[in-house]
Amino acid sequence: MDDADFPIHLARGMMRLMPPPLVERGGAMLLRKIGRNHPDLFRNLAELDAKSIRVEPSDLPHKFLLSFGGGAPPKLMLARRAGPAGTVLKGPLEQLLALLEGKIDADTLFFTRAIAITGDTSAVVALHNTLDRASINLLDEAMSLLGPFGSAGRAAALRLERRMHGLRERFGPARPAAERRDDGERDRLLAENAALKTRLAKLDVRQRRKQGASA
Amino acid sequence: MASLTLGPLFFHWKPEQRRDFYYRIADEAPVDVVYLGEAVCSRRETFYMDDLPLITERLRAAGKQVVLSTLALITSETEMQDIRDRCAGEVMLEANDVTCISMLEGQPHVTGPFINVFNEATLDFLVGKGAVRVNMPMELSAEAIAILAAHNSVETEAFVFGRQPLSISMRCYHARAYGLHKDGCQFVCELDPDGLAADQLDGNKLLVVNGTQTMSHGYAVLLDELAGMQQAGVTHFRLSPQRTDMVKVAEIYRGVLDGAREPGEATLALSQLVGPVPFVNGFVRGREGMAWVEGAE
Amino acid sequence: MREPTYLELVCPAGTPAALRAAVDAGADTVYCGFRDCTNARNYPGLNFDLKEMREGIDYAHRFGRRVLVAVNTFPRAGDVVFWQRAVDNAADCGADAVIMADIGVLDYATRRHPNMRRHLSVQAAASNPLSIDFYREQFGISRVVLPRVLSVDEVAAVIARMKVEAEVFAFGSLGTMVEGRCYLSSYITGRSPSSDGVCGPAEYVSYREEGDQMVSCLGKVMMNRYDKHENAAYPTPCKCRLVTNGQASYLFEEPVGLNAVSILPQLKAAGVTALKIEGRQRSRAYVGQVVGAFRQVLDALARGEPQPEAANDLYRLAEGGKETLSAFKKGWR
Repeated sequence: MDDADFPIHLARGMMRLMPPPLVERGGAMLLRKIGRNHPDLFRNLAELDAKSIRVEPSDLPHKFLLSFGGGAPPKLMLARRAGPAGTVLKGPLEQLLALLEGKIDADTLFFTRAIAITGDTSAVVALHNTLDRASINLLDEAMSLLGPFGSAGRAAALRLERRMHGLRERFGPARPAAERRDDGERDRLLAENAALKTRLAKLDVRQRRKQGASA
Repeated sequence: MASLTLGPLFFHWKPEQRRDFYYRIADEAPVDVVYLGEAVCSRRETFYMDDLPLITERLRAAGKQVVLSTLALITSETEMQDIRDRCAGEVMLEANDVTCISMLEGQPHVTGPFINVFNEATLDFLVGKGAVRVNMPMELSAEAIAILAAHNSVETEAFVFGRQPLSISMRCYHARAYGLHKDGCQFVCELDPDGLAADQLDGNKLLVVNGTQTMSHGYAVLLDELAGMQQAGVTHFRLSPQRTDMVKVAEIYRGVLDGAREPGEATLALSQLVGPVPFVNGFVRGREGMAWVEGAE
Repeated sequence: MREPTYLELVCPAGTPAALRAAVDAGADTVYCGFRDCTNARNYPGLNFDLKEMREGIDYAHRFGRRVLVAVNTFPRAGDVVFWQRAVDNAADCGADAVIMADIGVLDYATRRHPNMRRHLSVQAAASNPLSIDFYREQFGISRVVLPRVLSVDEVAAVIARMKVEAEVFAFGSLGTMVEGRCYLSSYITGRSPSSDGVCGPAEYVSYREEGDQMVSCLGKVMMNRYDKHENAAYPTPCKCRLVTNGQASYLFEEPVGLNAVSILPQLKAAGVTALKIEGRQRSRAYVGQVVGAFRQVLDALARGEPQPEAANDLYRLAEGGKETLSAFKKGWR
């Protein structure tokens, strides 16, 4: 694991154990910190149309409501009520955080169905494009909350992450074998399929012409 | 006085159907201008090119102006050579691609709906090159059409009846829909003389394909808007040939243009004539093109 | 300015961060647009204000790279001045060229900024030597972005007969309709690529789950229905599933992305000057990855070495997770 990466296993583990009010307070603190470190980002977010997105990490018990735009600073709350939201963003925490940091392309995640958006998609597009203008490093932001203990905390967090990662590798669910792209075989079958389709279509057209002529 | 025109036939009709259609237009339809020629696919032309001189003669004898439309997309060497020949010919041309503009410079011509004339600056430039009549692109709102029609004294033409051309491609979707390729297309587009329906997955109607062209499923019907456009200075109103009684269609439009018929009553008569096809007028009303806004503006 | 190796690599930037990512990853040239409807990627949160444009151009110039500004939509009647200001602003910011499509805008730029390089946008759909000649003679364009509908042989034939540089699309999403003349998006939503700079705008896009399937809609129109693990496409009209003769299919184009990395030598032999990467709407991460991979491939080709591993990563980033040579290949039609 790269040292610059976010300790995702640790974060997920901690957030699963944390009681909801603590998660909410932690999230709000982190957001305020990001606002202080990236005033441009908050200004850009405020300029957007007012929207809210329900964020549902598929591997956490918590759901969040993120509101932004309309001149106000962004707000992050726990979504306690299951009421219908304008937009719902679903996906594994790791992908959602990487998206927030701009490490992964949103369209790529979407094409491969790693994340799902339901409802009004313009909220997600506007948020993603605006976030992409700034360079946020979540680990740095989180650790800067610890003030002078930040660097010690960071080292400890990454150490713990490496250990959790190792455990997961040993005992976690087996990963599917990497998909092998057998291009030659695939292309041959596709070509054969296309040729058959064309023959069928020609017969079909001839048939239609005959019917047309006799009608 | 407002002129009624018949746009180029976008579909691939059998040569004898095409010939009979134009003969009847010559004899019976109250249209002032007829656009002939192929705007969609050059491969089709060989079927009916030889008939064009006779059709032209007959239309002219009936007192109609004949204009030859050019392809909306020109790529091959043969297509370019054909354009050169026609630019040098005696029949007035409708340029559907800027390819023709430099060859037609200084020579009176019409610019077709496939050339993007979205604003006054472009209009001025094309008029400077010899355009005497400018077609409004499909997408323009009544407001934009009014600005362009009032901008200078050039004739302006609006598309007021028929399936609206929405896009053009190098790829033939008609062939593709029948599992064929463009080069071996067997001219399957002939099987769908009013376009091949391309519906939504839930069964709702949306588009039709016509060779390399994609069109609206709904017929554009701009009867309610005729008076407004006339007042704004639009001089020509185009009917696009569909598989319906185009002579009757022309009579309905002529009646409304002349103030002899009410648009509401005429719309009803038209819908009885063409059958179950929905009508659209969204573009001119500043809405999504597939919308139908009832009544006058 | 730095001399391009092998072929000039022209890269997209939807944000200042993407511009820096493109420059850092080895782009020779970056193209971008202002934050309004004067450019063809007018999506929320995207593009540059004047200050960002000036800073972005300074950043690129510091590393010897060029910046092209796209003012490539068609002004609405009555609004022409807005587009003219965009051209003036691009000139003021020190852009190396402006990319345009509208005849009126080209005419203005030619008269007002005769010394600024003018490129012809793909939105102008100049697809044969005669129309390219028209734009060169009338507006002195130095480069044309060729439509994404020509095969390699056709690209070569066009280039052989024209007197300006050719830029072709090498990677990214592709429209199968002739660009600048497609009204499908405005037929469904009322907002058009031509004048609003948007195709299938996000505020009209919606998704809903139906059992195991996901349904995408544009406005009130159903675009697609995906099975659980099926790759998705952009919810634009030319990538939708339609029913013809009772059969549902991707009538216009499958959800695939263009990737011409395997035919770069053919494109060079055809006389191409520059390769364009599509994707101003994509993130800086995408820009960095694609540009980085192309940089390695071009450098390797220039040295006469085999294609590096990096080229293999590109397919993951393509639309629908699949890639194609599209119109470059014979038989596409």
